[in-house]
Amino acid sequence: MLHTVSAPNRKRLAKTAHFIGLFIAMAFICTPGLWIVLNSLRPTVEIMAKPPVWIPTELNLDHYRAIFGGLGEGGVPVLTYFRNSMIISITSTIIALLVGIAGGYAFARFRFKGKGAIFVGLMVTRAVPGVALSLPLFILFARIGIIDTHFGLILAYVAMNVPFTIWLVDGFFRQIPKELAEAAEIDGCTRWQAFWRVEFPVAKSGIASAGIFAFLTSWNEYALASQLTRSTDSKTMPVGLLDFTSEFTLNWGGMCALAVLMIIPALILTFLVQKHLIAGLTFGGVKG
Amino acid sequence: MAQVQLKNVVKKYGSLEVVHRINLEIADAEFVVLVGPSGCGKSTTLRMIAGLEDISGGDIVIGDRVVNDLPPRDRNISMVFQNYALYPHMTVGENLGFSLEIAKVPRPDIERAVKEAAEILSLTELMDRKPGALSGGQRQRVAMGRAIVRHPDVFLFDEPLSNLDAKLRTQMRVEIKKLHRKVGSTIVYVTHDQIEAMTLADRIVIMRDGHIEQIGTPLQVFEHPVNTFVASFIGSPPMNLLAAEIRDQKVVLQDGTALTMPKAYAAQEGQKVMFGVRADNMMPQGHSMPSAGNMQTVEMEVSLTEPLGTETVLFAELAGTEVQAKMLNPRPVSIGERLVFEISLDKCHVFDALSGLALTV
Repeated sequence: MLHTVSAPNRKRLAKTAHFIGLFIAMAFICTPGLWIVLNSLRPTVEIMAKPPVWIPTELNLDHYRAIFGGLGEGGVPVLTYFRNSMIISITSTIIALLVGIAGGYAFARFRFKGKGAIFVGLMVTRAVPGVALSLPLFILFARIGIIDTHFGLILAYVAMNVPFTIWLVDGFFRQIPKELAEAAEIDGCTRWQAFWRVEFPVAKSGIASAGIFAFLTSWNEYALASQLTRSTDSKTMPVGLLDFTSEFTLNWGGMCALAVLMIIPALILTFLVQKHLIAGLTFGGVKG
Repeated sequence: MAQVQLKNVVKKYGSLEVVHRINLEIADAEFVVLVGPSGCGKSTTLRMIAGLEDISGGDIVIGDRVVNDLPPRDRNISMVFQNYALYPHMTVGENLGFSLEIAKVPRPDIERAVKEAAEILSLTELMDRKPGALSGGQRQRVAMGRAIVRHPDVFLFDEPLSNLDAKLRTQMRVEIKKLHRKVGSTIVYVTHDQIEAMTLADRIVIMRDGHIEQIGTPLQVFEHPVNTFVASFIGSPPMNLLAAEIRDQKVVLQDGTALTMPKAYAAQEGQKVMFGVRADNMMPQGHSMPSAGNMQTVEMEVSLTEPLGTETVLFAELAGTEVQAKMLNPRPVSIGERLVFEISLDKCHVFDALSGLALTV
């Protein structure tokens, strides 16, 4: 006689398999991150140990203390880097969003000459790797004197983010039926009011996700920033990580500690916006 | 409250003209339905009245104002869209009050107006819900509530019932008619469903390819269609149209069956015509209406039956064309059965075969 698995058992089996699969995937994704956090909290000896020490014997905040300490004792200008990163990422994100909303809306709603060509052109710029542009940008920025400035990097990041933002925002506005704006106009709105009172709030979640993409791109960007920034005046946190490498040594502990500090704001922001995204405005006003 | 006039209104997209110089006068408090197959220009016409589409020629007058260049917000109209277009980020209450809020009406007045509209449409229970949490019929009612809340001069409905299931559609049709009674404003209603048009309208405007084919009360367009298009579009099942020729002042069908010319029509000897007879005027003997006026009988073989309860629609072939007839007080009919049908000639129609126009005296 054949063994048959009863329906509830099969369900439980599938659930367990699903769980194990998820666990393996998450382990792959999370291990490097956890390793960084772990390394930032334990002594260098343990980090370098061979074979690796999986379960730490001692956890302390020495590396954090050190990076905030004096220059001679492994300290780096963390707060300045943090401030630079913040200024550059936030400003470039705001500008990219403003341009992206305007551009995305235009692509979604209006007909104009060369629309298709412009759109394809914007997307093609995404195909060029940032690093390939770093030398020309470096020369250009050096000539006009905006190398090693917040402005220079903001400019570069806006240029990098705008096409993608436009593409995302265009998609979100396309999902909103144009009847919503028409209904608002009939209800007494001007074209502008119809946008701000109806279309913008409905697309808000989409715009928020476009914003977080732009912010994270700027926040994490290393290739361009390492070329276009020189001094503490404008270095961002990813570039700051390089301060821990010297000719013969690598301060792994300090590097990990700074990396953790870098991850935290991104994590908080993602978490905040994610909640907003899940609230995901239903498009139920229209046939659903 | 206001009348609406369309004078020689034209709509062009580039060089493509989609609405050709149409003229229409809608009286105050009248319920007018624009009906026609898709692509006939009815929705475009409605959108031009709303101001959502520019007009390329002619004049649109609402009340005593020419509104050609006024934006929608200055026309004092409201509109119910096919997909309802409720604002998904606002509650039902906010949706209803939005237009008043934009008009900067004081808060207490808004609340009063919203409450009144909600009562008319029994939405009071749903005021705090978002559109996403409503059923199709409820959304439909919110869309109507949003339209009535600010007492516009003209209501525009763009296929408002086509997203509802059949049962709900019938129910909402009645509600719309009641609403019109209650608020008594001018309504322009667009649909492709001739039953909706017949049941709702004071007057029906039948459109095809950007032209108005006929304007009239439901009974006028049903009983006196001006051409074969209107004849086959209005009425269900559609009017049977049979190719024929006039000989000796008789309508001779292709199989030689000669029928007496219906009273109200006249044609020349030898003219090619289309003979129109509705299923209601072609019934099997013993299952028909009491005869009135000229009657004539034909014998046909039944090829298909559609029992509807109070009547059965019978499919048969007459002079090589499939026709539909009705059987009152039905009995079971087997396929292939031959029956004698009585045709009420005075209720039949004759159209010119080429132009399709009715050949009325």
